[in-house]
Amino acid sequence: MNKNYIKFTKVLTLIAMFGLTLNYFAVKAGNFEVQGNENHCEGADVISIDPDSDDLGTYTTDDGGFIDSVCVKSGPEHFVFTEGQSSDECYSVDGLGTDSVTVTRLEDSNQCQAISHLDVLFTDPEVSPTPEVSPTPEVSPTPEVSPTPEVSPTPEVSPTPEVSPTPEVSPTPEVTPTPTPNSCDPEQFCSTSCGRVAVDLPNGSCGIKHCDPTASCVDPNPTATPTPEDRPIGGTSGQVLGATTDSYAATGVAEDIAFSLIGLTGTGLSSLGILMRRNEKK
Amino acid sequence: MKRNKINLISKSKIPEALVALGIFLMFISGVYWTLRFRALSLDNELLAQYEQQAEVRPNRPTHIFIEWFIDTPIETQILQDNHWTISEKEASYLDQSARPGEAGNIIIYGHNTRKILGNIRALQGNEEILVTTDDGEEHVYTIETIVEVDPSQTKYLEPTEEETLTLYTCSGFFDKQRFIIQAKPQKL
Repeated sequence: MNKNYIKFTKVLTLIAMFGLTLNYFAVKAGNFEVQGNENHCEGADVISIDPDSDDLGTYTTDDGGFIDSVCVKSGPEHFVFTEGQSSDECYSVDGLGTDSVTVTRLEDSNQCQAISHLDVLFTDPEVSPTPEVSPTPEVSPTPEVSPTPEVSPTPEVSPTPEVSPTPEVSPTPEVTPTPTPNSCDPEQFCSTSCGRVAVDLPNGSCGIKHCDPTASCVDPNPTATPTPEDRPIGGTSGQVLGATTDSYAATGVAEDIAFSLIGLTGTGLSSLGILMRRNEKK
Repeated sequence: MKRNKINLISKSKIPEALVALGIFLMFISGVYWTLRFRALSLDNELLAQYEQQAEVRPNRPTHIFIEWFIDTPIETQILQDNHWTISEKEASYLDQSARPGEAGNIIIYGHNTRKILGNIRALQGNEEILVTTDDGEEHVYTIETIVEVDPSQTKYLEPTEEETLTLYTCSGFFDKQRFIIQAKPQKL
């Protein structure tokens, strides 16, 4: 009798643990949808690179294009540097306007966090259509689940692990050269990638400051690729557009099943408890 | 003697502990389902608002059929403020997407149950997809792409130049992935 009782208790404990485990996974599953794209500086005409170290990042264009600006990601912040504003108290960018840039962290402090990521915006050289672009093997029509595969868009370069290809980034992009800012035209900067904000600098010129992911951008360049946030869903002309999303619909039923099981387990345990109490009284 | 006493006490508390744990689990489940049904009613409100102001366009898909796998009606749903409404009993068609027969991406999605779109995960790639629209016309598509992606990889939802049918449902452990089928109109 006593042995049976212990065995019974063990089984019940297991059931309870199972219920709690289900609960844990269910809550976890409920959270995963919330995750979004953290890289606000990423855009179709922007190359994302990892720095050489926490303090130094370098990049040289493969095709002789000119680097217009660099977006430095450090911690949760983004900072954009152009020829008009190539340094601040934390970072300095050398080589803007040329085909090679060097980003240096000037100070190691809480305010000036390590360089975690660089986005380089560049203007392509005048390129005539280059028909001999053979699709590189990495760009398969059925991409893998892995995050954006990284392939070089320029034909003469062997696949270097540096540039992310989206279907819109054709090897002959029609992005018009982004001139050095000389007037504060927010749209001009918003047309590039990451919600940049044109600001008046103390010296009277115009520059670009922090990437502001909440800035709403109007794209003046019809050939520029829309950012993921602005991308319409669905069809082409004549359709209801304007809807945006960064995720698919939640089409799973695992949560429903898990929480139903949790409820059933709860009911079972309660009933069992009541029955045991009755038996004890008897 | 002392040990026996402790055992007796702990034994006598077990039924109460079980009842308490059971009530706690039932409470968690109850909260979940309450929120779930509230979300559903909000979805219905959203849809009603959308219907009032939406442009009326013909040729909404009303039924999807893939022999042996899928045979389900389709409800029109929407994407608003980054929130997808979804039918609980049928497949869902995103009203903001293209209509069958016109250029663009036609997006149909649904729960991964056997009665809705769960079986698309068994498709091999040579099946035909038959979509019927509200004018009774039938559109046949041939599968071109089968892929499983993370929910944040939304490139398959992007507009397309050519007519493309995109079907998707959840897959993977605890529905962490999206299983996507893309198909093109069958050439006659």
